[in-house]
Amino acid sequence: MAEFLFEDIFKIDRLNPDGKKFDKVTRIEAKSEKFDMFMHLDVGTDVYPMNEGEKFSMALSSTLNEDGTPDTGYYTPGNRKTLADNYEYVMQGKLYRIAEGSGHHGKAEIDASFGGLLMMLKGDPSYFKKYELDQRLFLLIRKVDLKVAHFTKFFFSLCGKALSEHEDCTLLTIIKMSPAFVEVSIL
Amino acid sequence: MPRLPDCELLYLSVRPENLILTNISVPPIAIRPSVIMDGSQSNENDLTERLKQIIQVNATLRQDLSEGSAAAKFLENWDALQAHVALYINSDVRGIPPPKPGEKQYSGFIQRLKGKQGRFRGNLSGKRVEYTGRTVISPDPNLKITEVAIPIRMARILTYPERVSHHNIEKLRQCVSNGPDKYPGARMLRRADGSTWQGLICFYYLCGHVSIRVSRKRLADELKYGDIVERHLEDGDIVLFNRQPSLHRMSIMCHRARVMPWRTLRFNESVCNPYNADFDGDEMNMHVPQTEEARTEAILLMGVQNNLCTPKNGEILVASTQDFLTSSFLITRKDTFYDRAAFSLMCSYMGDAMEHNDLPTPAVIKPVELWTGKQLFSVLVRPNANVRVFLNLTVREKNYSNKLQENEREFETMCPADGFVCFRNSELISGQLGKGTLGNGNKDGLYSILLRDYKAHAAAACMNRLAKLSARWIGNHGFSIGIDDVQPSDKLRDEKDQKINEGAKDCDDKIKSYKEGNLPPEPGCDAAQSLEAVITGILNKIREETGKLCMKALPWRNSPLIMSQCGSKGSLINISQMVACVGQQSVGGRRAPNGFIDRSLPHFPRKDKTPAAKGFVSHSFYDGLSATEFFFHTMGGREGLVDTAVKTADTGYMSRRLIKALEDLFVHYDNTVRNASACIIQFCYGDDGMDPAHMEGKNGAPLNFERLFLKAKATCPAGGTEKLSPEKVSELVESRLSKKDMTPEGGCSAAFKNSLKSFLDNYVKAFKRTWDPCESTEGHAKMENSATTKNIVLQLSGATARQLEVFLDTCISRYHSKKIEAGTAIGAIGAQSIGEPGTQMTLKTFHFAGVASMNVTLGVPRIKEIINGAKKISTPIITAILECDNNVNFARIVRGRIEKISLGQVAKSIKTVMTSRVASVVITLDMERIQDALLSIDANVVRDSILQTPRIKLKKEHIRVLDFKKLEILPYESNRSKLYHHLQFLAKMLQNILVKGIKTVERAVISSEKDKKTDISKKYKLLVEGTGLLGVMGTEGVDGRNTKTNHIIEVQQTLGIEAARTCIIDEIEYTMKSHGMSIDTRHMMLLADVMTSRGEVLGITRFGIQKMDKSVLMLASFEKTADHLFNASVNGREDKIEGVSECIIMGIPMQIGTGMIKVRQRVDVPPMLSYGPKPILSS
Repeated sequence: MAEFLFEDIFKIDRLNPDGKKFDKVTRIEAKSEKFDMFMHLDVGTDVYPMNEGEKFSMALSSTLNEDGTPDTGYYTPGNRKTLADNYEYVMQGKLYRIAEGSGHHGKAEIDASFGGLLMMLKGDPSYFKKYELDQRLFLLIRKVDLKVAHFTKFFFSLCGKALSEHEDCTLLTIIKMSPAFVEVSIL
Repeated sequence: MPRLPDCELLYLSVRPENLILTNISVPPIAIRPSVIMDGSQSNENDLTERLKQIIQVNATLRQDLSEGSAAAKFLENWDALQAHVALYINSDVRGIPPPKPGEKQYSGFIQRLKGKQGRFRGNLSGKRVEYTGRTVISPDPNLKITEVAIPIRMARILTYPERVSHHNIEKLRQCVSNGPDKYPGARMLRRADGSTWQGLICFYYLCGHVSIRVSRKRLADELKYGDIVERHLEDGDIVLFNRQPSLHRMSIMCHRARVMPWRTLRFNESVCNPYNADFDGDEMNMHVPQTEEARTEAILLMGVQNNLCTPKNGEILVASTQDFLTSSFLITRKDTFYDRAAFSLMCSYMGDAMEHNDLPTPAVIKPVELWTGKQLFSVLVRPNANVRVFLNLTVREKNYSNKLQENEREFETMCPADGFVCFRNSELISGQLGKGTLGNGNKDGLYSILLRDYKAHAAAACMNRLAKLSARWIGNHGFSIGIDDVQPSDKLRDEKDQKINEGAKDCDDKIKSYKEGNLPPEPGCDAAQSLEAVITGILNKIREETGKLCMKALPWRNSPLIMSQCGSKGSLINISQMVACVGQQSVGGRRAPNGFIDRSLPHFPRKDKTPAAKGFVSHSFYDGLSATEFFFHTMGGREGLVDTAVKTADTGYMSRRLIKALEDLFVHYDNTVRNASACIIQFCYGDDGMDPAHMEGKNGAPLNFERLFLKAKATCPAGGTEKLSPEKVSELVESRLSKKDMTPEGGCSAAFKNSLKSFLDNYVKAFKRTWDPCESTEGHAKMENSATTKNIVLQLSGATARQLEVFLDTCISRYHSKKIEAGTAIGAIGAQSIGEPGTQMTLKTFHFAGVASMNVTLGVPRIKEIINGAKKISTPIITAILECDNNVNFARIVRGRIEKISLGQVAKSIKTVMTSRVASVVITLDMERIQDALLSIDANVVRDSILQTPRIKLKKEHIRVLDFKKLEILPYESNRSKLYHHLQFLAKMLQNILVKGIKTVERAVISSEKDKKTDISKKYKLLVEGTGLLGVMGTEGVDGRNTKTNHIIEVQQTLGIEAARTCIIDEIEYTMKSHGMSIDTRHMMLLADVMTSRGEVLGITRFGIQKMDKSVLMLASFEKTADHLFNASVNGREDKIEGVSECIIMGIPMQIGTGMIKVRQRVDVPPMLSYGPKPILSS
C-alpha cells in the first residue's frame, strides 16, 4: 500500500473568499484538523458539490498505483484497482511552486495546478520536506460526515438530472463508478 | 579653351558665355510621339507644338531682320522667341505671363522631370515591373502564417523560369505538354541552344524566317537538361506579398505560394498586423522573383518567419488576433471542462492529422474524467514528448487584479479572476489567455518567448496550431452579438441615471460658485478656465464610473464584454457608450464651442455652461441620442474624420523626407554607421551595436535577465544536486564573467557586463538576506529547525551550479548573437520606425505635467517641428529645476525673478503732474502687492530698469527717486506747447516698461509633483512658457545644470550641439511616449546624429538635406528637381552613384546589405609560355 504524501481532514470555512467568478468552479477556503494547514482549493463543484461547513478528508499522492510504483506520466485508464477507488473526487496536476513564509517562524506554502484548478496549501515548513518542484500530484477527496439525508438529497438530484436527460450517461456513470458513494451512504 | 582660375573661383565648370543658349536640342520623335487619332487627324506632342511655335517666331524674326523693319516690331518678336524657348524648357518659368484661360498650357522639359508623376519620381525611382498580381484579399486560418493562397487564374499567368534538371524533368515535361492554359502548365520554353517558344500557344518553331509547326507533345518529349521552362506558379514557390501604404519593411514580406481555387489572395489572419490589412475589400499585391538568387534572398531576409518582430522596438508583430484571442480566452476559462470525446476532438483540430498528440492525464479523474481547457493549451504548445519546447513565462493579463492578499502579498497565480498567466515547462499552470499573452505588441508574451528561446519555427508552428484550433472551435461554439447584449437592466439604468444626476448636480454647484466668484482657481488658470477644467473632470468621471457599473452588471457570457476583456476588439469605453452613456463630446480638445452668440446651439439659453449645453451626451447608443446630442456627436465625429485626412498627408510627407535623409546609412564591418560617401555618422550603432529587432528587455535592453534566470531554473531541474551557497554563487559568476567573451576585446560592451553583474549581485544580496538568519541561529537550540528552514531557503532561492552555468551561458551567447549585422540598412529602418508610428498618432494636445492650463503641442505637429529643426516652435517650454525644491515660497520668489513684470502691474498709479512750476510723471508703487507676490521691487529697481530699457530717451537726470515707493520722471521735451502730449506719452510708455523678469518669457507656472502615498505636494519646479533658456538658467535660485527646454535650436545656441542631440532624442521619445508608443532609442539616436553631425542642427527638410552632402541625383529625385539639375550642370558636379537613390535611378544594385560585398577571385598570373626558337625558314 502506497503512502500518501499528505493526508488530513479539512473543514470548509468559506466558499469563494474573493467573490464568485466562475459558474462551475468554486474556490474553497479550508483548515485542517491535524496539521493545522490552511488551504485554498478550486473544486469543480459542478461535478462534485461542496458546501460551507462540510468536512472532507484530503490526501495528496504522487501516484495512484496501489503498490506505490511511480506514475509514468502517461494516462492509462483501466479497471485496475487504484488508490482513487476509496475517494470520491480525484484530480491530477503539478506542483509548481514552493515558497517559504515570511521570517523565521513563517509558514511555508506549496502551490499546485490541476489543469488550471489551483491549490494553495499553507502550513509548517517541516511538513513540506517531501515535495519537489514540478512533481506530479494526485489530490484525493472524500467527504467525511456526509449525512445520509444530505447524501440522498445529492443522490436524487443526480438521479433526477440524469433521468431527465437520458442521453447524459456521464452522470449515471458517476454513480456507477463510485462505490465509495454507496459505502458512505450505507454508513 | 583651358579652364581659367576665375571659373574655379565662381564655381563654374564652363566659361560663363557658354551658358547662353545658341542652339536648342530637338529630341527625336520617340521622345515626343504624335498620336494618330481616328481618321487623318493627328495629335502632336506638347514639345512638338512648342517647337512649331519657336520655328514660326524664328522665321518671322528672321524675315523682320532681313527686311530691316522697325526696331520696335522685331524687338517684340525677339522677346517672343526668348519667351518660347524659355517655355520650351520650363513651361512655368517666371517673368512670363501665364496663358489665358482658354489657352492650353504646353508642358516643357522641366514638367516632364518634375513632381510625383515626373520622370525622376515616377519612372526612375519607381519602376513598373512584370510578374505581379493584385486582387482582393480574404482570410484563411487553415493556411500557415508563411503561406499565401494564390487563385489558380493568377497562377496560370504568373510564371517562374525553372531550369530542367534530373530532378524536375518529369514535372516540367507535364507542364510543357499542358500548355499555357491548363494548370499546371508552362508559358514559354527556352532551349539551351537559344530557341524559344513564346506562349506555347502557337506551336511554331521559329527558325530564321521559316516557321515549323511543332506539337506541345513533341516539345515535351524533346525536353533536355539545361532548358528553361517558364512554368506556372506552383505550391511552395516564393512570392513577395505587399499592401500599400508600405510604411515599414514588414509591409512587404515573402510568403510561400499555395495555389487554390476561387479568386482572392488569402492568408492567415495572424499576418494582418504587419500589413495593417483587414478584409473589408482591401487589395494586395504580389510579386514573383525570377531567379534562384532573388528567391533565396527574399525568403531569408523578407520571409514572414524571419520578420515576426518589428525592428521598431523588438515587439512581436505577427501574432494571434481577434477571433483567435476570443476563442483562446474562452477555452482557457477556469470552468471549461471537456470530456474525453470533446477534448480529443479539439486536440485533433490543431493539426492536419500530421502530428502526434499526447493525451494528458485528465485534470479531474473522478467522479468523471474531465480535461480542462488549460490542458488543451499545454497540448498546443507541446503536442508530444518529442517536441523539445519548454516554455516558461508569466504575464499579467488585463483582468489581473492588483489587489493584495490578506497577507500583503500579490495574488499572482492565485488571482481570483484568473488573470495571471503562468506557463511552466510548457504546461499552462494558471491564467486565462488574452491579448497580453497571445497578442501583438508585447515582449514577454507566448510567441515572443517561443521566438527568442526556440526560434521562429516554434513560434510559427504554435501560431498555426492556434489559428486552426480557434477557427474550428469557434465555428462550432458560436460567437455573436445581438441587441440584448447591449440592453441595460433596469437596475443598471437606475444606477446610471443616479450617477449622471449626481454629476450634473456637481457641475451646477461649480457653475453657481463660479458665477458668485468663489471658485478656487487652478494654478495658472483664470476662473473660466478652471471651471472648464473642473467640469471636464467631473464629466469624464461620470463616463468612467458608468463604464465600471456596466462592467459589473454584464454577465460573463456577454460578447462585447468577452471581446474587451480578452483584447480582441473594443474597449471598456466602447461598451459603456453602447450600454450606459456616450459621454462628453470634444472638439479641439475642449467642450463643444459656441457656434452661435454665447451658446453652442439655439436650443440653450445664452452663456449656458451646463453639461448638456456643451456637448455632454447622457444617453447611450442603445437609448438613442436626442437631437442636440446627435449634433454634438457629429461635431466630434467630423473632427476625427478631418484629422485622419490631414494626418495621412502630413505623415506621408514626413516619412518621405526621413527616408530621403537616412536611406543610405548602414552599418559597416567596422561597426561604424556611415553614409554613402563614407562619412561617419556614428562610431558604433546605438552606442552598443545591438540590433533593435532582437531586444528582449524593457527600454531596449538586450536581455530580460529575470526571465532567463527563471527559465534556467525551471528547465534544469535541481534533482539531487547540491545547491550553491551565496558565496559560491558570487565566486562562480566572477570566474565566468572574466572569460574572453565577456571582455571588450571579445565584443562585449561594458554596459552589458555591468547590467548582468548588477542583476546577479542583487540576486545574491536577496539570497543572503534570507540565508543569513538561518545561519545565525545555527548555534541555538533550534538546530534542527534552522536546518530545515535553511534547506527550504536553498530549495527556493538557491540555484545549482548547473543552473547558474546554463543561465550565464545563454545570456552571453545570446548577447553575442544579438549584435547588428554589418550591412543592415539601419537608416531606412530608423526612418520607417519613426515615420510609421506617426500614422497612428491622433492630433491631441495634452496637459503638461499636471498643470491644467499649460498645453504642449504633441502628436504629428510636434514630431514635425522636431524633425524640421524649426526655429520657432508653437509651445516652447523651459522646465526649470529649483535649487531648493521643497518650498513653495522659494518657488514663488524664483518665479517672480523670471516672469516678466511691467511697471503697470506693480504700480498703484502713474499720474501726470502739471503745476505752474513742475511738469512730471509720478509713479507710486503698490508695495502691498509687491510684498504679496514676494517680488523685490522698489523705486530704485524701477529706476534702474527704466534706464536699462533700450531706445528710451530718459537719462539719469530725468528720474528722481522720491522715496522707496515713489518716483518722479521729468520730461526731456523742452517745448512747452508739446509738454502735455509728451507727458501723456511718457505715462503710457512707462506702463509697459519691464521692471523685472526675462522679456522672452510669456509666463511661469509652479508645478508640483505629488507624492503618491501621502498625496502632499513634494517637489516643486517651474514651467516657463517661452524662450530664453540662458536667462532662466542664469536666474538666481534655478539649478542651471538640470534646466531643460523643448526648443532644440535654442539648446544648440545656448548649450551646444551635443546638448541639442540629446534634446532631439529626449523630445522625440517624450512625444512618442505620450501617445503610448515605444520606439527603440537607437533609432532616435541615429536621427539625432544625422541632424547634428554637421555641427549645426539640420532639419530634415529640403534645406537641411541639401547640406548633408548628398548627390545631385538624390537631391533631384527629392525636391526642386530642376534647380538641382541646373546647378549641377553649371557647377560641373559629378555623381559617383554610391547612394541608394542613385543606384535605383541607374538600375544597378546598391551597395547596402547583400550588395555590399563583392566576390573577388585571386587569379594567378598566367604562366609565361616560353617560345621556341624562331624557325629558320618561314613563309
